[in-house]
Amino acid sequence: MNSQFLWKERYQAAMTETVKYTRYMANGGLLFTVYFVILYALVVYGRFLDQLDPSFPGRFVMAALFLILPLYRTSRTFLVEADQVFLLPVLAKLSSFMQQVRAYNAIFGIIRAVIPFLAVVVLYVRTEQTTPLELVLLGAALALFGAAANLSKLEGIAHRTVLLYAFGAALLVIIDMAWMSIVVALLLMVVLHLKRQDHLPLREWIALERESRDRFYRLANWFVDVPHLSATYKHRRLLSNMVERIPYQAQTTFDYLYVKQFIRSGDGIGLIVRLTLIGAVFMWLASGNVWFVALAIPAFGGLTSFQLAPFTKAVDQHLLTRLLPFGNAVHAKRKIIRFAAISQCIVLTLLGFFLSGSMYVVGGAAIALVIGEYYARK
Amino acid sequence: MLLDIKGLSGGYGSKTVLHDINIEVDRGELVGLIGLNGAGKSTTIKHILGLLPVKTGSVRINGLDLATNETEYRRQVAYIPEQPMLYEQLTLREHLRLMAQGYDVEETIATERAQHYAERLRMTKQLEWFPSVFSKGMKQKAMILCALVTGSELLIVDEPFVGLDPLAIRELLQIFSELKQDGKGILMSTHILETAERHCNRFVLLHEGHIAAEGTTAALRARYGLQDGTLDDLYVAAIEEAER
Repeated sequence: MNSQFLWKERYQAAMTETVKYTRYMANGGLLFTVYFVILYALVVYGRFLDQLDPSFPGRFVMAALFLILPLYRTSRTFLVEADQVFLLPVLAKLSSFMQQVRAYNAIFGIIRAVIPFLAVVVLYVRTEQTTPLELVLLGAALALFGAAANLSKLEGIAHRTVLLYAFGAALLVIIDMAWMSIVVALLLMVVLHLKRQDHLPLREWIALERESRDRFYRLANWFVDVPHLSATYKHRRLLSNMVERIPYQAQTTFDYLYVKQFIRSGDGIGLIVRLTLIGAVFMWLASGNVWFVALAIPAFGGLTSFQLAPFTKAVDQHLLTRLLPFGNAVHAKRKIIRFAAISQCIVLTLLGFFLSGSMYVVGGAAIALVIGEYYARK
Repeated sequence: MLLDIKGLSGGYGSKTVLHDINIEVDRGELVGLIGLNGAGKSTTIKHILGLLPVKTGSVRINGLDLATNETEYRRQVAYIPEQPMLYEQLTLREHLRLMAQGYDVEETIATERAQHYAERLRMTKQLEWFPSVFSKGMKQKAMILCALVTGSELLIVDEPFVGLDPLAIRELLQIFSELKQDGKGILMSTHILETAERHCNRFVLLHEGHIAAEGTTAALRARYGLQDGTLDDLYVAAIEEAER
């Protein structure tokens, strides 16, 4: 097996997998909700820009983008567990493969940076004195930081190194020397080049691929069932201690199991907190329009209930669950979805009422509860 | 009879793996289920646990069958799988509470039982740990604890010694011995024949989905004319006879 063959084979397999899940996702009902939320976000953002005061600190938003973008880094390496054994004989001859992996991650990082840049630049040009050349340099710098974030993970370089350079670039944007940020970005690229790995770090790259794949599967899992999805759980001691108060009775076995799953998984309470916060921000941005505020309640309530509905999947398929003699799984699951839908609805409705002062939010809340009940019974 | 399998045929989908097998486990008995890889041991266990549908024949535990009273049937049997399968989101203590609660064990008894067996298997320190930080042996011990805390009448055990340290193996065998004295029944699938020979009351030798031989060591020795034969010798003789 040579480097070129390995790259071609792995890249094609990965793309086939990605296309397969993307098609499933595109056919999923959730996508319409996502389209709706994106359109809603664009309208809200457009209205926000129209009303924007020229004194708005646009440079701070651009500087924040420089800081936020490198916070998240993800790298694909296209290696699998079995490579620990089967690639060992050719490990020294895989430099070309490594180069192609680097190129892929750099391009992916650049694409990831361009989209938020386009969103922020329309705000930036309305509030700052700038030239087209400066904007190009700013965009290029941000793209390089996107690439650098991914590449640094690939090369095993500390995250703080990238963040330090990003902080430097952000400072330059704030002190009105935005074009200089490209110099900082180029310096970072030089550092990455000097510290790059000479030999393929097999175990580390396999772990990176697993992490990246899991992240993609978790996203795909919102839309479609993904088999063998590994999940991460948080202890959440305070909530966990409260769950221990569930009565010790055979009939409440599934209440105990599902509530533990709910509080510890990212698909449970984490999901509700995330979507409630995003919903709150949307409502705040759209607070001038009562319809937008009222409709945000069923939009985010529906999105939450839809994604919450399959949260018990991880335990339902488990052998121990199938062996348990007692307990009412369906009833326990419905209780949790109802509780989540009602709690989120109360928070968003109170916030909506506070922002808009309109009783329309009650109508939005009623629709949200109906959607929640639909998914609880599904 | 605690476990009574009569004329069982079954398998996966349209593929029949087990052909008309009969197995009995009485109270106070440890029965060894022995066979080559692919002989049908795990399939037999899955049928007992109700994880695969029975094609023909019957599986009864304590006189109950799955179709007529699933809850009581499941309550009679606890399972220790070969591959530990724990909930990643629960600590060991929470696993034990869940199993005891699901099997309707009284809370105080469950707590005492969990503590007692955790101490014996040297797992008290790990009670608050999540399975993600367990070694393979710890995971296996956790599965054993989950089964023991239920206090079920019948224990189905699939290769219980894999990954266990010598002390844990000795303790587990001692626990099995005590369970037998308490009138529980155990069906144990294993490839470790030396241990099985010393601790099992009877053996069922499976081969290609059929029962090749069954009985006590003495009965098998008499059948194959190997008066001083070990279980290894008897096993080989049974396989050779079945393949002739």
